[in-house]
Amino acid sequence: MTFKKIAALIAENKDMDISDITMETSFDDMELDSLDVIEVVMSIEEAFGITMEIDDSIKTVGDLVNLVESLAK
Amino acid sequence: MKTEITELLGIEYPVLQGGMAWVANASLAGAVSNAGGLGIIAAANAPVDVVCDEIRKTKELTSKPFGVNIMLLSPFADDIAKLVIAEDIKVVTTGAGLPTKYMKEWIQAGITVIPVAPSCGVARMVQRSGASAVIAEGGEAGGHIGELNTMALIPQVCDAVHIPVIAAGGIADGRGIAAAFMLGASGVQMGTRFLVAKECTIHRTYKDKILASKDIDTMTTGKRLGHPVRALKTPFTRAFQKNENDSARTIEELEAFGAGALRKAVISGDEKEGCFMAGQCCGLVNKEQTADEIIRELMIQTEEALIGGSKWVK
Repeated sequence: MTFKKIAALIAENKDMDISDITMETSFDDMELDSLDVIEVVMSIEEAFGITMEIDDSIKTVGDLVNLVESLAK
Repeated sequence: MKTEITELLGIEYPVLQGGMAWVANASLAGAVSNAGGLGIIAAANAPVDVVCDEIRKTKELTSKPFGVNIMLLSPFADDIAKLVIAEDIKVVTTGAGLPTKYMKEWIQAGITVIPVAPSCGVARMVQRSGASAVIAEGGEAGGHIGELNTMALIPQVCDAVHIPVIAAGGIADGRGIAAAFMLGASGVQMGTRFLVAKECTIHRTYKDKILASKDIDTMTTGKRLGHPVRALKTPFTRAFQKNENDSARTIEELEAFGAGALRKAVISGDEKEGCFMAGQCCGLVNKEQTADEIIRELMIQTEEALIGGSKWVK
């Protein structure tokens, strides 16, 4: 499942408790700055074998999950 | 001196002049390119006609390659992105974000794209989008800066990407350039040193302040705003710091306090309200020279430092 995989990647990369991560969790909630987000995106790209274009509209874990799912189709 | 960067850009010396907002105009960029480095015009927040004018002036001053730096948060970024194609600019550097959405068109137009990367993640991402090289800039630099310092950042970025890396932040003489090469970079970008170039048209007061400044004379403000800025310690930066530490001040108030401060320093030399952006290497910058003299001196020092390196090897 996309969400679980992405939550696990964020938790591992950013040393966070995976149980704190939900679809609604925002990057701000997690105190992730733009450089953290880029690193997370790069790890998602590698894990899923996709390339993502991110912009300011991507603010939450759910936004990432939806983007990845739309690209995987 | 030949490196991957001189080959890539078709220049004589691996020295780029930073795209400093309000500072990096045709006069400075043309002089640096004529001296064999890469002069860069800063588009900053300027509208298209102003940038176009500087580009055309630079073309009159030099037949050598020069670049344009695009500040991606500029309200005119989309238009400047088109302008560099229309004006047949050879090299584009970018700052303040990811240039992803422009990359395809620029590369198709034959532009060499070199984004500034403050982290390995950004460097890898822009490499993937087709960047020809990256500028890894450490927090010793003047102006808007990242968290990592040059010494730690450069080798990590060199390991993270296979494209050439240009080191920036804290480099003002040949020793810095030689050190950057040892860290894995194949070129450098310098800002503060070129502030005092004779062809640099900033206010006299700005130059005098740089020439007089010492190692401890810069500070970083704006961390609370999420975009820290390094500048000389002046009444303005101290007042900004005070406001920033005052939790009663809102982000909007702080932004308003800082607005226009760089222009006041560059254009009017305003010692009270100007923000004199400078890197930590300002204490190494103590004479006014032409861009040509600066680059020649840099190259002699770099070679001396590199040749001297063998004394450490058995």
